[in-house]
Amino acid sequence: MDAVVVARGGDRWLPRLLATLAEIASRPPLVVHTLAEAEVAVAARGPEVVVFDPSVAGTDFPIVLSERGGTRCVGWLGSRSSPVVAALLVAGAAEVLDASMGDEELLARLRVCLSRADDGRSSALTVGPLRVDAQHRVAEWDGRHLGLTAREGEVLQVLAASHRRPVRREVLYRLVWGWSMPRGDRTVDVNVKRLRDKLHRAGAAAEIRTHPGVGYALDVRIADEAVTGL
Amino acid sequence: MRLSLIPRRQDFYLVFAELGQNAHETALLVLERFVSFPDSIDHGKVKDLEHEGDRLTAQLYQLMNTQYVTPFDRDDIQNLARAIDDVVDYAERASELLGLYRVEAPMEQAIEQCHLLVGATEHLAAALGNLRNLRGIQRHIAGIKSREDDGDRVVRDAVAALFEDENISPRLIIQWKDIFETLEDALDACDTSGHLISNIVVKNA
Repeated sequence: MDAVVVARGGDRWLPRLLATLAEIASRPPLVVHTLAEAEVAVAARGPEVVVFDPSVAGTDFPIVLSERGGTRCVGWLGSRSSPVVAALLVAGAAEVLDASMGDEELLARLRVCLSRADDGRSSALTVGPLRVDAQHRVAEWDGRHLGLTAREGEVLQVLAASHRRPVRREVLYRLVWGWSMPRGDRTVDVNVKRLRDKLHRAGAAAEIRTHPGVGYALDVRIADEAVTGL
Repeated sequence: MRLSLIPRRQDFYLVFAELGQNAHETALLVLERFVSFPDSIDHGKVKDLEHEGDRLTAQLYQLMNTQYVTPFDRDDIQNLARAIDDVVDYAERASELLGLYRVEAPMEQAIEQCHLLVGATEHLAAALGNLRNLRGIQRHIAGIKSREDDGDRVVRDAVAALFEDENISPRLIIQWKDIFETLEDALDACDTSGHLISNIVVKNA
């Protein structure tokens, strides 16, 4: 089970929520702090559950996420407020958790929420002839395997999720590696260089453009501009 | 082992010059490895230079043990040889850590440290190459000192970068702090070598 958490940086209840999620998650939950990062993270990782603080993502976040079948949207409140809970449920939240709940209750509610059947979920992204599903280690151009490593696949998926819009290097790092990028780190650049080489070798009509001082953007040249899975 | 009464001063100078050249070549190779990592040269090439440094150091000790007359104090020779050996050892160690820690990509600050190490060893090699006539050495000592000062600034900034954000991976912090400090040790060993050469100049000028 993979989870993305959208919360404020200084949320004092966050460690407790993360500890609860860690009990059922297959890998450490990814924490993001802005709505823009949340959208890219969800598109890139295709998590089973997104736990969000409405003060960061907005109470209508479940509606934004509803286009993406299968990702359960769970509200997270530092202090319980009936009107907010109601608004979240109306917007489509599968569950609303708050800090007043005990650890066992939090865990039980999350488990029940996740056990509700929903098989329509897909983490694959398709941008023209490019198909990438980092979760299942698939990266193809026009049906041909690109031979990417797990990290390269995840980087490509984040870039594909934000097609033609630049993704900051720091954001890319956080979404793929799950940590903050230290100043001076060239991990993203090295992986992008390798991705470029592999895309080039595969004859892909796709380019990863450098936006100086910002980051990278993937540009896939496609006839019908079809982008699905976002 | 018998002590030879016929002085072979030239041999000492030649071995010191070779030690300096070897240290510089090691620094160049380590820089190349950091810049292009992980697609760079194999660490084995750096290791070969470290072995060459050990061989030259052993050769110097053997000269010292077989010569009745040495060009400088035996202690000075021994300490200088050890300091140059440290330069190569630390540089080789930093290069090795890239592989041992399975580093994914280099950090810019480490590359900057490698550039400084190349500059410092270039001056060190030049100073060691001039031990015979002891001329123009102070300029090279100043060059080494300047690189070491810059190195202090770079390593402070590099370590600070690792602690700027509490969400930086602890694994990354451990890896890079170790590598930054090892490269800094190599630069410090260059500085120590420079001080020892300075002492030799003062005693023998």
